[in-house]
Amino acid sequence: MTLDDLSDRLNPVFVKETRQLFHNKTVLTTLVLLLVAELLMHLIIALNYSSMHESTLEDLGMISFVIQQVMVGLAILIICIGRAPMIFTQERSAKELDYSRISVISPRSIVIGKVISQVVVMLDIYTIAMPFMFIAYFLRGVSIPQMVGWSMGIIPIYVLFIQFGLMLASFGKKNLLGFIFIFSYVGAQALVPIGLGFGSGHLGGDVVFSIFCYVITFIFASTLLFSLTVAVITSFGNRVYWLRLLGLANLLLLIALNGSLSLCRRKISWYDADDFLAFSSFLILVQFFITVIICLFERDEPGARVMAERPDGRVRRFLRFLLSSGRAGGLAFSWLYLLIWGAAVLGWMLLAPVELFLAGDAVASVFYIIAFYLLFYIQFALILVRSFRKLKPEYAGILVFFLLFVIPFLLASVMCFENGEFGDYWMLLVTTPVCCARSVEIGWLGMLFCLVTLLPLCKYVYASMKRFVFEEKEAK
Amino acid sequence: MMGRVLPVCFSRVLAMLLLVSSVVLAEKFGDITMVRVGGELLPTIDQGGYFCNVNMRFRVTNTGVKSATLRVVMREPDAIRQVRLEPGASTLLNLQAPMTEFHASYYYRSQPTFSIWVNGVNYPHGFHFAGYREHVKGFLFSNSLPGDTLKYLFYWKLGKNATDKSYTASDSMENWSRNVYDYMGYSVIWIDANEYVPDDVKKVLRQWMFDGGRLVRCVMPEDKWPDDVPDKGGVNVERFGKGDMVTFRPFARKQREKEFDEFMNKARAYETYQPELGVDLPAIVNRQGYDLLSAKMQTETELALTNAVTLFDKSNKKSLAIESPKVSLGPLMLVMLLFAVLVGPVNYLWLRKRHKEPLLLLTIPLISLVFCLMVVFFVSFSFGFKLEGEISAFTYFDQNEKVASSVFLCSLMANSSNRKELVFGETDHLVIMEKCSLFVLDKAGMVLDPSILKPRTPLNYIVRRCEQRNERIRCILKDGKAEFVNGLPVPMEHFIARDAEGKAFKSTGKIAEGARHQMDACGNTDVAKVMEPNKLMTELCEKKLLKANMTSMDMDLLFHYLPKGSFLAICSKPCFSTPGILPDKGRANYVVFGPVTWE
Amino acid sequence: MKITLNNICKKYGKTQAADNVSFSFESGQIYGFIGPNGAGKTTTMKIMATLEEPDSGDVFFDDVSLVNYPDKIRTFLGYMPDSLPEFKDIQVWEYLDFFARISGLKGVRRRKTLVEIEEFTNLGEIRTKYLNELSKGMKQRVSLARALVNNPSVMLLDEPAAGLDPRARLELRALLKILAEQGKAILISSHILSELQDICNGAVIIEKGRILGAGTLDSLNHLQETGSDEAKESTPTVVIKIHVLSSGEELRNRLLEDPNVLSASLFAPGEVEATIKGTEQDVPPVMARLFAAGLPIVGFGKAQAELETIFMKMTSGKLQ
Repeated sequence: MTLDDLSDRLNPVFVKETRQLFHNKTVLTTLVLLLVAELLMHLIIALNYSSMHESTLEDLGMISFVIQQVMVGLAILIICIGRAPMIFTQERSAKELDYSRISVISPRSIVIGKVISQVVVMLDIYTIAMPFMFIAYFLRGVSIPQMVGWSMGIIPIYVLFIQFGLMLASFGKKNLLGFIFIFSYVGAQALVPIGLGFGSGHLGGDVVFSIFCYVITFIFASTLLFSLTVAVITSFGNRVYWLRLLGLANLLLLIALNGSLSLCRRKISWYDADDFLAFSSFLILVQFFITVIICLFERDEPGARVMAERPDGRVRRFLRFLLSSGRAGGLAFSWLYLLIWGAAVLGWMLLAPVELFLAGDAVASVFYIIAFYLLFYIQFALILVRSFRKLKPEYAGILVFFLLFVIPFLLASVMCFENGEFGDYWMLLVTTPVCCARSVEIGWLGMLFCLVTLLPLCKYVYASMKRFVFEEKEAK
Repeated sequence: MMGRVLPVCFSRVLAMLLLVSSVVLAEKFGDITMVRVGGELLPTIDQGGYFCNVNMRFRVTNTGVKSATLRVVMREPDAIRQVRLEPGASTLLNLQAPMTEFHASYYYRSQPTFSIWVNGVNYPHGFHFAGYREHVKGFLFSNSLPGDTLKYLFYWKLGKNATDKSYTASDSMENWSRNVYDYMGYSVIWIDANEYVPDDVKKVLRQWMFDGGRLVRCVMPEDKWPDDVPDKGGVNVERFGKGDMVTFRPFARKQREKEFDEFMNKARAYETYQPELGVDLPAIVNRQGYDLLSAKMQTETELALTNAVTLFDKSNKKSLAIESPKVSLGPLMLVMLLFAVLVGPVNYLWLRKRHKEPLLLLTIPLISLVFCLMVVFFVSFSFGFKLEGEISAFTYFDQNEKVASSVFLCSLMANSSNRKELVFGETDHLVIMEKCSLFVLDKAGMVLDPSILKPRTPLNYIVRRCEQRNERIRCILKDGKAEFVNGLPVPMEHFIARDAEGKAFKSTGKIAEGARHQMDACGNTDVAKVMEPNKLMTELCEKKLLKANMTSMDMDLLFHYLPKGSFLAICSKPCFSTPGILPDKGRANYVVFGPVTWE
Repeated sequence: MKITLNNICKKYGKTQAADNVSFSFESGQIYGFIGPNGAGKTTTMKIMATLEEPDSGDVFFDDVSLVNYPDKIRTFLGYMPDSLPEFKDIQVWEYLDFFARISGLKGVRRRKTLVEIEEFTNLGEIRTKYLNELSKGMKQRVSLARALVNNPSVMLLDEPAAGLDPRARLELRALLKILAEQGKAILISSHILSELQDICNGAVIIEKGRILGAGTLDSLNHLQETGSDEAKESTPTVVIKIHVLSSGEELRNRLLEDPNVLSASLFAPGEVEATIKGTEQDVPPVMARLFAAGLPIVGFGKAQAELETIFMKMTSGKLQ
């Protein structure tokens, strides 16, 4: 078996990307410059080493390590975060991506291939600097846990930036690229201290919990970006399938983690059940927000092809309905999402031991209420879109947001500026989640509004679901 | 919304406080019960009467039927406290937060945390370093003092923010509280020197004094001066940890202004020495050991300890800190140049020729890995793997009191990772220079995690230890010839002594343990007036008089520090145990000195 | 394989790019897809290539619906767009290798296919060149090679000869004929109608998204002449063109007198087009009579339906 045969097992996009990478002059020049810069830096250190003050010597390793991180970061920025999305945009606008789709490869595989190729290259760039990092370690001032911690902290950030860049590039708009480059450059520099914070010193206590939350956030953000990119580049297919499926998976994962870790909390010293509940709720809300917003922009009914791909069996078809493109399916999915989430929060409140019953559940409740308000706005917008066919979804969304959130909020702000407290004007704010400022109980009105706006859509959702589940497939 | 969420989040804090308040005194963890018994007060810079609780002390009891291991892991400082208790056994456990967290701040920047593990199981707890800032309450007067005592007393200034309020106890001292917390906030407590004080109240007051309180024993005009303290013109001040005990006869200020001023001057002389490190070091406290030592012993080495801190100061050119090894960057640069050439052009061109550029993804990490290993081996072997150390120990050994008070100045460095724990004894006072924190040890001792010794980074620490020793060094003068018997359990490199008349004698060679050795007389040298351990230690270290191989002439210089009837011995092995770790290689000098009665 | 488009509709905003487009063609046929700019050719081709989803209607490849089973369709479809390959930093063989991989070809089969395609499209000499170094003609060849990588049964070529020099166009025509002989169904859009004329068996004419005519060239010709193709099927005829040294008037008159000649018209000075009743067998007797009459005939032959003529007559040239 030759290497070529082995490469058949690899993602074809990955193979192509790596070939392109090492033909590119910018990439090769950047790597050479990185090596030269490393050598120069260490030459300067070597020349001045004997005359350095003790206090400088004590921190020399850390200084060297930080400078290396900046250099490596720049190389990654140029090659992976800058160049790769640029190439993708060019492929997109030149329709090469479309031509690639006339094949057996799926959009998911294309995205995976692109991400993995850049991640592998990024790791390679890191390994080029590794011998120099080892020297930094021996120069004192930085420990291996610090170096490993920093690297472990910053690499996921780079991965997320790569994914983000590819997601923006998948729109094929060159004007977005400038944004990603500036954002990555500034954002990566700003996030390095966070990565440093995670990599500092020894493990124990809160640091482990922070790392745990960091990993969860990474998984969450990565899957979200992946599914969004797949959704953008998919044409002629079920665009939202992966978005909803991964969203549901994330929800169930977070619920499972909350439950199982709380049960084992006595054995795990670092786990803070309360904080994790609040944190998970926030992530779930973000996921829900994206899913429900996209629902507004979907087509009314699933396309003919989606209908043709329905599985056999009523139950399987119903599940597929929830995951297929179409507003009705999106609404049904959103409600299911809220029900599962609500059941988990309720379960937490009822079953969690007293010592865990602190503030996390209250925070989770607030996030849950916000989700209801979001769904309320989207459902209202959908009612408008269906009633006024010429009204575009984005305009409907903006209109609803303006009417139900912005105006009441501004009015209340003006009133309380005059006198009184913000919470006193809860009646004005009742269509916004801000009414929770008065009391969380008022916030549950959001659920009521949600149910009310679901009523006019019930028939549509039911009809769509019925058609999807019960209608026979067309004969071949 | 945020206006609601934030209070909701802080309700957690409230709930925790409620939880804490209900179990603040005692918590049960499996078979172990921990009861909080007190804490140390730390005065802040403004001296406005604010104090913070930076210590937590627990009485730990095993209430089970099997032995249990309690392990308390603090994140800051790096300390693991481990106690194994037999069924029914009890001990005191002390946890201390680094001073820098609390010092000179009006709020706490961070809460030191710790976790409790009993027999390997983690238990949540409600203890926390509840630092609190409370205004000094003022003075507390015993109700046995006459009501007009105040007319004869003068106020000690407590600072601009103090409220000088006076409170009179409602009950006699027999019924005073046995809980030190009840005395927190009183800066001065006035009692009658001759009134009856129960032992347990004495104990609590002693603890309160250690924490910074001032106990004033008033000797009323008609009463006899107490026997336990000398009468130095109607006033005597005795240091107790951070506080003191003043015994004095009250007088009308206006009548005895001069004496008042003199008194104040004396009082100032007892202020704690403040080394210039940017961090205040409190006076040393050793509660359990106090009964073991005399106050004089405390004083003798207290200054030495605080002075020792300066000897490790980074800005001090004569710093005792061991030097870190330096990497041979020259050869390394050649290696890295080779790496750059191999991983870059050579690698790329070789693969391009074969049209296999994508294999760079594999060859780059492989080449990097090889060179990483090369760097590690090269540097590791050039540094070596042993634990290096420089120890200078000064022990003031009072054979009459049978007490040895030692100050160890230790600089350790591990060239590779360290696996040995640093073990300290029951009564050790530990100052780790890098941490700028003081550890007060207790019966549980202290075990520092091996990781505190970071590779190629010196760890400098000072330990002051007071312990009871029964060894005896005998100096014998017979027919004009001087001999001595090495009663220490280790051989001596050098020994010098002065007799009662000031004549100087020195050893002529190594003296084995237990051996009898003749000494040579030396010429008249300057006789020190008193033995000043502090000065001895500081000068010996600063002037680098302690060398690896000291000669006879070098020893002559040391006579300068010896008063009449005293000795000084230099050993290369630890006379008593070494705190921390005994290094594999390096220089160690153990100086033992003290008074000696010639036979 | 028969490819049938049924009422394909596609709208972009207010523009109806495809309005009930319906036609069909089969394996072994080369059909031209012609129309003015903006007629909807590229849109229709993109729909057939599964790059766009029709608003309504469907395309059937035999019985396989494109709307329902696009993934299946892609396995036997080859599409050559009007744009040139734009991958950067990639050599020709790597480019083709990529498309071979994503078509599901593995190992020896993939390598063998690439060798064959490179040979077929004459890319062997430039296989290690980078795409951006190639000339337009070479890129077109690469584009064609890419479309052939998965050995498609159906090929859709959008302006394949645009920008090619005459030699290259000649080569392309030859390649397409070979492919048609191999049994592939080929739909080719082009503005160079004379070239389509040489290779196409039939054509589809589109304007403003609507199909004006579709079928073989003869049927199209009849359609544009009569407005229907019914009479053509009932009466077999042969159209011939006769070149004569004189003005042609005399020749025309002679032909009109011949009982076997249905019609004769002066196509151009010295060129007469006549419709003879019957099949090709009936042509020689007519010609013999003309020769016997001593007319200065210098050449004759069967007249192909002129695509350009058909196109010009059927379309109005209006753009969308």
